[in-house]
Parts: sequence; C-alpha cells; structure tokens
Amino acid sequence: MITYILLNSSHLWRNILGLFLCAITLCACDNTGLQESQNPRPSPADYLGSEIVDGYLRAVEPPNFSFPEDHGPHPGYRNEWWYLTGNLETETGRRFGYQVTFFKNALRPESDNDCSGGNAWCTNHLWMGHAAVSDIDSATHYAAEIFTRQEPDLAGAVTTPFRVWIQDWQMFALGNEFPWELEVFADDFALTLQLSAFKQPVLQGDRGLSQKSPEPGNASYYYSMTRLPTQGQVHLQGESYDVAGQSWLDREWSTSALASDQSGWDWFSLQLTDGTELMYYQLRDGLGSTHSNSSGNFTSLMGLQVIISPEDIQLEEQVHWLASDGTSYTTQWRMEYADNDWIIQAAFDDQLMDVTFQYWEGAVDIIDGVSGEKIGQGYLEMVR
Amino acid sequence: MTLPGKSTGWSLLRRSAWRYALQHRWQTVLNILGILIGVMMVVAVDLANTSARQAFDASIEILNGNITHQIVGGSDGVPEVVFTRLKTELGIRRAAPSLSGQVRVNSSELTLVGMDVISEGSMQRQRPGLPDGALSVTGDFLAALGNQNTVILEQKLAARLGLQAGDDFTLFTFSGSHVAKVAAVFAVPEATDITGDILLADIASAQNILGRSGRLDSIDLAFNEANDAALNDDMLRQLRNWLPANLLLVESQARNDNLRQMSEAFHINLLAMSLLSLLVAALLIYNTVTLSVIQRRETLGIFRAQGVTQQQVFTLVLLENGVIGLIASVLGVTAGYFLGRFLVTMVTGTVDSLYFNLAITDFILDPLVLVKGLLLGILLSLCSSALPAWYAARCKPVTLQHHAAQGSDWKRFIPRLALGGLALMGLGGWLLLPEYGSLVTGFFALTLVVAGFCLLVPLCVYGLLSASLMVGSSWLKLSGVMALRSARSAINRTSLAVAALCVAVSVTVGVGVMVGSFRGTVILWLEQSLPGDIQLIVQSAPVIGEGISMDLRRELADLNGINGVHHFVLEEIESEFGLIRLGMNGLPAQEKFLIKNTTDNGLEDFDAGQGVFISEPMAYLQELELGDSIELLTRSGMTDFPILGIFYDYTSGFGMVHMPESLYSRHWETDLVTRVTLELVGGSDEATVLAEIEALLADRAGSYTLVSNRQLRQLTLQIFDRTFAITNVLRLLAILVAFVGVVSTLMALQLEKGREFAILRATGMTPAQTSGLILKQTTVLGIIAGLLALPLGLLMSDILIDVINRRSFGWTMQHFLPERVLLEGVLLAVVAAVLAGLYPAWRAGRIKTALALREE
Repeated sequence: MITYILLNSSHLWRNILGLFLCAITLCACDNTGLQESQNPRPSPADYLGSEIVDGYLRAVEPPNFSFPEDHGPHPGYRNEWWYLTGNLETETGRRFGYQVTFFKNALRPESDNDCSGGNAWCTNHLWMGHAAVSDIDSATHYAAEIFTRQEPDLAGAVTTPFRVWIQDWQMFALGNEFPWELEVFADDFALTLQLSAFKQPVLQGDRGLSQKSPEPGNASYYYSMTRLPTQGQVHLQGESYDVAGQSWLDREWSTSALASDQSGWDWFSLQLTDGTELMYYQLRDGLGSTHSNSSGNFTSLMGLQVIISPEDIQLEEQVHWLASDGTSYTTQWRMEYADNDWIIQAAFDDQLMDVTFQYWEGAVDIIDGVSGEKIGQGYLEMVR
Repeated sequence: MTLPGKSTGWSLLRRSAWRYALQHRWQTVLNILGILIGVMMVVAVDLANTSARQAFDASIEILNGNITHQIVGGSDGVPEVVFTRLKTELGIRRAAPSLSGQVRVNSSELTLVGMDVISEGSMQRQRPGLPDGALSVTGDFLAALGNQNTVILEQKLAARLGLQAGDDFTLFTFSGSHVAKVAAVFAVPEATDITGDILLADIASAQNILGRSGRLDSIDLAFNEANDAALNDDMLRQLRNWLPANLLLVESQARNDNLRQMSEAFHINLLAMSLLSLLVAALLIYNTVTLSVIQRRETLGIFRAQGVTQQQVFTLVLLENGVIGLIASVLGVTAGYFLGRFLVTMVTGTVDSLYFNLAITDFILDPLVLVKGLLLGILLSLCSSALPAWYAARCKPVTLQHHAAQGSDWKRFIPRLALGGLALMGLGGWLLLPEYGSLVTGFFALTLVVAGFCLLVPLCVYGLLSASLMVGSSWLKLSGVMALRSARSAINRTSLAVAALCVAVSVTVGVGVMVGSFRGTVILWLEQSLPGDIQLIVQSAPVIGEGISMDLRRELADLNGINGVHHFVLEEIESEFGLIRLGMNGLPAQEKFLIKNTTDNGLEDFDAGQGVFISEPMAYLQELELGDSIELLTRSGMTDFPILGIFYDYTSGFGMVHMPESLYSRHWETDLVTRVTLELVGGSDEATVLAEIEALLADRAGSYTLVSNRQLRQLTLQIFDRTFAITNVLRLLAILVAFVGVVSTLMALQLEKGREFAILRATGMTPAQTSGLILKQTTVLGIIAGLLALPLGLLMSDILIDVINRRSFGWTMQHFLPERVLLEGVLLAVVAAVLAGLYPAWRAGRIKTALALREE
C-alpha cells in the first residue's frame, strides 16, 4: 500500500495540480469525486478565477504604494507574482528574449491555516516558477517550470532586503533598492542577470488598482517597472553569452481577478527606441471578443503616464500560428494608438510555454507601419 | 515370406512398437510418469523462481521507483535543513523527503507515511504493474497539505477503522497521543492488490504525530540517467563533499543488486534440487528403454533377419522414446504449471522471510520456461534412450544373444568402474575443499560425488551379495541362495537398479538430514539468543527518542513475579555494506551468542567495549575476518569498529553486528532500548504477569508488542518451516520419482529373467516358490540399496550443510542426525523394492513354462 501510494504519487501529483485549480478557482469541482482529469491542459486563466474569496484580502480601494517595501510580498492575498520579461543582445548582435516568473499561491486563507505546532514544514503557500529563453537567431524556445511548497524555506519572498526565491531560482536586491540580481538555473539554460531601474514604478489602472471585471474586488494591485537596463549572461547549451538589453517587471497581487465569463487575454509590453513604453492588456470573453475592462498605459520618456482604454486603441490580428494542440495564437498584430500605426511581430512563431499551464509568451519586434522600420521591441503574452 | 522393402520395414517396426507399447502399457505409463514428474519439477521450480525474482524486482521497483540515490543518516535520520539546502543551494530538483513510523489507532498498528506531494511530483516515480486508474477522493485532499495533524487514508482501511473524511480521531505514538483529522479518503482501483495498513500524511503532520520535528528518515534522489555519466559522477562527488560527515549518499541500485545476489543463491539451490530429480528421471528412462529393448530383442532380431537395417532399429527406438518424451513433457509442463502456481507462494514466502518484504507476489507465467521444460523432457528422453537404442540396433539377426555371458562380461568391468568412481569422487571432493568457492562449482562437485558413488555401486552390490552367500550359505535355504546368486549373476542389471534406488533414496536422506540439522541448529540458537520468558518489543529507533526507557525497565523489574529484566536493542543501521542489523544487549558476551570464534581475549575485549562481534553470514558474504574492522554510521558519522569475534546467526540474510552496551551508548548517546526480556520467578503464571504488564503499559504512549518467548520460539520455527516448506515438497517429489524409477528398474530385471524362472519351474519349482524367490531377491536388493543410500545420503547432507549452504547463505549448521530420516530411507528402499517385485513375482508364478522354454 505504501508502495502503491508512493508510486501513485505522479498520479497524486496530477490530482494536487487539479486540486490546486479546484481550490483556487472552484471551476467545476466541489472537492468530491475527483477523478483523473480528462481536461485539456489548464490555462493560466483558470488560475485567476474568482470563486473562493472568503478570508482573503481583496483589491478594492486604490492602494498607497511605497517603495521599496511594495517590491516585497503582500500576505493575505491569494496570489502574487513577480514577472520579468526582456530583450537582450550580445555585442555581436545575437538576440535573446527571456521571461522569468515567480508565482505564489495561498492554499487557504491565513485564518484557516493552523501552523500553531511550529512545524517547519507547515505550509500555506505553493510556488510555481516559469522561465524561458528565446534564442531568436535559431528560432528556438527553451522553457522550464518548477513547483515547490513554501516551507521549510524552499521558496519565499522577503521585503528587506528584497528577495524572492523558488529553490535555487532567485531575484534579490544587492542593496536597499535596485540593482537586482537574477539567477535562474534550468536543465537547458541559465540566466545570471543584473537589473537596474531607469524609471520609477508605473502604477497601472487607477493608481495601481487594476479592475479586471466590473464586480468590486475583481481586481488586482498592479505596477510595472517598464525599463530595467539589464546586463549579464545567458547560458545556453554549454555556452555563455555576455548580453545587455532592457527588461520589464510586472508586479501583481490579488485574490480574484477574472470574472467567470473571461477566458483569456493578450498582453503587450512594448519598449520603444524613443524611450517611451506601452502596456496594454486585452481581456477576452468566452467568444473571443474584447472585454470592456481591457486596459493599458503609455509612459513617456520622463515618466508621464496616460491611461489607455479599449476605445483608444485598435488591435487587428494579422497572422496566426497553430500550436500542436490546435490552439491558435496571433503572431502578428497591427496596433493603432494615437497617431501611431505599428506592426507587432513575433520574433519567431513557436514561443509557446509548453508547461503545466500552457500559454504563449515571447519576444516581439515593433515595426512602424508607414516606414517599415523597426522602432522598438517588447514582449507579448497570449492566454487562450 | 517376401523380404520387406524399406517402407514395409518401417511399417512393420511401427506396428510392432505400437503393439509393444499397448501390451506393456504399465511400463509405458511408468516411463511417461518418470519424465512427467521430472519435467514437472523443473518447470514448477523454474516458474516459481521466475515469479519470485520478478516479484523481488517489482517490489524493489515499487519501493524505490526511479530513485537512484538516497541520503541517509545514522538511525536518527537526516536533519530536514539538509533538504532545504539541497534544493535552494544545490538546485537539485528531483529530491523528495521520506519519513514513516508506527502508530496505533483503535488497537490497530498502522504505518504513518509522511511525504511531500510536491516533491513527489518532481520525482516522477513510476509504478510498474499497476493500472493507471483513477484515485477517487472524498474530502478535502488539499487540506492534508501542510496543515497540522491531517491524514488521508484508503477507503477500506477507513471503513475498518470506522473513519470518514472530516472525522477527528486519536493516534498513539511514542510522543504521546494526538488528535488527527481525516482530510480525505481515497479509493484505489479494485484490481490493485495492495496490502499493509498505511496512513498518509504531509511531512509536517507526520513529523508532528511521530514527534520527529526537524528529522527525515531519508532524502530520496532520482538523478537523470539520461544525463552524461561523467556529469553525474561529478555531481555525485560534489554532493558527497557537500554532505555533512554524519550523512551518507548511498546508491539504491548497488543495494538492490546486493540483495538480489543474495537471494539468487536460494534460487540456484531450488533449481539444482529440481535438476537432481531430472537426473533420477534420466536413470529411470534408461532403465525402461533398456527393458523394452530386452523384451523385444527376439522380435527385433527377426526384423533384422528380414532386412530391417540397424539404422532403422536405432531410429525406431529413439523415435518411440521421442514420442513418449513429447507426450510426457507436455503433461509434465502442464503439471509443472499447476505445481508452480502452488510453489510460488512458498518460494516468495522464503524470500520474504530471508531477504526482503515482497509487495507483489503474483504468479508470472514465463512461456520460455514452458518451452525450456518441453525441450528438456524430450532431449532427456532421447539422450537416455540413445544407449539402449544402440544396443537394440546391434541385435544380430535371428541369433539370440546369450545374456548370462553378457553379465559375466560385465564382471570384468566392475573394478574399473569402481576406480573411475573413486576418481570422480576424489575430483568432487577436491572441488569442495576451498572455503570460498562458487555455488555452481559446489553443485557440480556434488553431482560428481553422486555419479562417482554410482560407479562404486556394482562393486558394493557384488561384494555384499558374495559376502552374504559366504556367510549365509549354511543357513540360507536353497531358494535364498538361488535368489542371491541370480542377482549376482545379473550384476549389470541389479547394480543399475540398486544405483537408481540408492541415488533417489540418498537425496531424500541428504536433504532430510540437512533440513533436520538446520532446524536443530535454529532451535539450539533460539534457546541461546532468546533468554527469559517474556519479551516486550517496540518497532523504533531509540536515538530518535522512541524506545523503552530506563524508568519503564525499573517499573517492570518491580512487578510481582518478575525475576530479572534484560534489555537489548535491535535496529537497522547504515554500514559500509549498506543496511545491516545492529544488536546490543546488556548480557556478558558468553551468554549472548553462539560464538564461532574470537580473537585472543575477544570475549574480555568485547565486554570491555573494545569492539564488535559480527554474524557469520556477514563474515562470509563480506569476506571479513577477525582483526578486520567494520564501518558503521553512528551519530558522529562513519566510525570504524574492530571485529573481535564471529557468532552464529540465522535471523537474516544480510548480517548482523553485535556491540557491547558501553560502545553503543557512547556512539548513539541514548539509554533507550528496543526490547526487554523478562525472566519470571519460577512457578509464576505467565498469563498473570502478562496481564500485569499490559496494565502497566495501558496508559503509556507508544506502541508496544508483548510476546512470550515460548510463542516467539514457536513463531520463529513456524517461519523456519515456512522457509523450508519448498524443500520438503521437492523432497517428497524426489521420493516419488525414485519410487517410479525403482519399480521400473526392478521390473526390468525380473522380466528379463523370465526364462530363468521357466527353467526353474520346469525343474520342479512350484509357482509359489518362484514368486517367493523373486520377492526375496528384490527385498535383498532393496535392503542393499537402502544401506548404500545411507552413506551417500549422509555424504550428500555433509556437502549440503558444509558447502552448499555456506556458499549460499554463509550459515554454519550443527550436524544433527535425525534417525527417523535414516530409517525412512531404508524403509523406502525396501518397500519400493518389494512393491516392484510383486508384479514380476505374480507373472513368474503364472509363466507358461513350455512357451518360455521354447526360446532356449
């Protein structure tokens, strides 16, 4: 029996993942009769569902952020993440895209968590780490994920000095503020990067309250570091490359974000060569149409911000790419914003995160629709 | 009469063969039976071995999955911080913590298994042989993760304990009683045959309940074998350097191989025994075929005169026996399949008690085994009949050979045969000399000794018959003298019959004496190593604070009716040879074990805490000698202990180390023990005392087992008997083959002498006298075979005890001579001989004198 269970643990594991989803989203299961999941791979959208909220803090009022403290963790919310993307280049012009995410998820509200016995393993959080490198010259995408419970210190986040880690992946402040060091070690690749801050944090939505659906509380606290000059090494296939470039950090924490009729999103983080940045996410409903809570932000060279609402922007899907499971992702977009007419083009098609929660996340080029010149680069995330 | 052509010759032969088989159907049946039983035994044992081996592998596979390495500590386990550092500093992904312990719920003893499901997920442990079916879960599975004192359990166990999801219940452990919650209940697929009572919990809950905060049993690692081997080696070296001194990185594969090798000796033993029965079957076939040729020699002679070629006759006899071999083998394989199903439980039972607790004991049908059995049977049949077939082919046309002459020809060979036999036995003996030889050589030598002895048989038979005639001719009646003379004159046939009977009986004697000696030794050893009357046992490791405390020992000593309290420790620890058993008890060395040998002053040095004693199997398997030292994992890391002595031990296939108390408490820093034996005041009632102790333990935390040593001895012997049940079954079957062999051999002898008896009848002997003569003769031959079987059997038992067993298990046994086995042997030989004589006697009585004589 022991043996059966131990060996069944891969099975248990799948169930835990399933339960992970159930507990967090209560999508369809009521904690009973959990059978082998026949569902297709879960989407990150499932993960941001909004059923169990009792006992958690919620994003209702616009926050009053204070830095560097708010770079650190925010206990009491159900999930929180540190999301880095960036475009890097060697001196000889070899290009790499990368993304690294630290996801933190509460198993239950703090009030329901009994760790009174003081056991070091008693845990209330599970962590998931994602990392990927897009080797643009060879059009090859490398992805990795790790899972762990938080305790005993297997993962975590601390405020002063800032540090977030999952096993041996970590991001930490060298001093009190930036620069930060990033260290990620996967089977196929590794990243050792240093990130500096060029601009102040950009508070998304209403002073950092990002409303995802009309119901109050269906929102997250959300800020971005839109331009982080980056240098360091990309290690790939036994080779080390000295690289430099720009990164983008998204920070978000919430208890429930998506409404039940929201099924995915397209998220753009664009860094233009003129020193401006644009973030825009387009939420989709079950039929694929744009949801009215889609939103964005334009940041000027000097850090001035303009909120973008759906009516300010025109998005046209131009080229589609089919993943092996049949999901269609848009790898070329036309974006019209203010007087600009841009083509947003994937650096290459297959930048699919082929992991437990499947999505497309990759480096993109921004091309001026009129002149045909490349005027910036960025990252695109598509959750279907 | 026209000369038959080639095809006519064939049809003639075929019809004749068919008619003969029908007329002598009993002989044919016996022949078939012999091969059948031989093949059956080989197939059954082979199937059982195959199944047991696969069960062994599967069980290891199940326990370990794709674990390649384990980080283990002394008996106090591994500090959990090592796990965290392993993941965060070294970035080792495929590592999982492991922790388990005994708990009691409603008087049921259960194992609580702590695990981290998230780590398990990254391990990707596989589970062979189990359906990939669903686990259906009721309750909040997730609640079990990382929360205090929550468990999940399997549905049937939950029902037995009267628990369901959401229930609170009380668990008893050494750290006290705990209230735990059933977070979820799951059901496994119906077809899954799983045993054992397991509560599953998150590591956090398991540590709380078992009172082992901060500790893990081990950290399991699964290095990717697909990775570059050099890279892996490099990583392992780094990991070894990184680990604290008191932790070990062990390779699971090496451990498993070690275990597998040890149990392999047992499988070889079984196979050898079954092959021995096949040898007896070969003798039987040789006899039967020879008989059939003799009986038909006139017919064959006539055929030859009619132009049937020698080659045709040779082919016919082979073909005949090929067909018989085929039929018998098919039947034998079928019977072997059924016997194998039965034997597999016995074989796995033995492996279970000797080596490893098997999780799966399925019967596995390996078609290759069946094919092997089939081919073996046919081949055996053909090979054993080749000589008689050649003899048949040599039958001269028409002229009938004179057989008495052949018998006397044979006489000249007797001394040469005997010399050859002595040479074979000498060679066998020489092969048996080295103390550390291979097991296969051991069996080969045994075969040489047996074969050599067979070659001595004609000389012995001749000598014994002649001696009887010299000594007894004055008081033997005429018929007695005639019986002996006739037996002596046909020495070629009689000695063959006696040899066959002798080998068969000696196998039963040899194995019987061996098992008897082993049992006797175990009883002797039990008396010595189980002092006292009552034992109190805990399943635990004292270093982690579980065990019988000094206070409890004092309280026990103060109870009425108790004369003395002895404490000891028995636990599994890590050593340079992997997991071994460690024993410690407070008694002086002399009273502690059956000592094989010690260094000078070994006993005094031991009592003074200078070193350890190791068990004989350990010394044998690891080739350790007095004065060597052994590395054991103590609280302070790997430590060398000098070996002061070797003691006899029969508890385990791996080996055991015994340590004086002073040494144990120094290196393990505890005074807790795992066992206590209580000596009762003479005449006090065991049941009363037991009740008293139970009352004392009733409100105490921890799970204790109370057994009376009398029961324990019984239990040990039961386990012993279970372990050797397979041997007894094989012995019984060997007797059966022997019996069939003897009946047919003696029948061959008597039938051949049909003409002789006819002459006797013609010269005035009554039918009753003729029958009596035959019976006397077979009885004498039976007695001779029985007597000869005794020295051979004892020789065989000596080889089995001192060579085969030592080479297989490293056990030395005391020699015990169970008279019953010897008596049974002789009796078996005589009864078989008498029974074998009945039919020829009956036939000789009814012989048509004129008809038989016409042949002269």
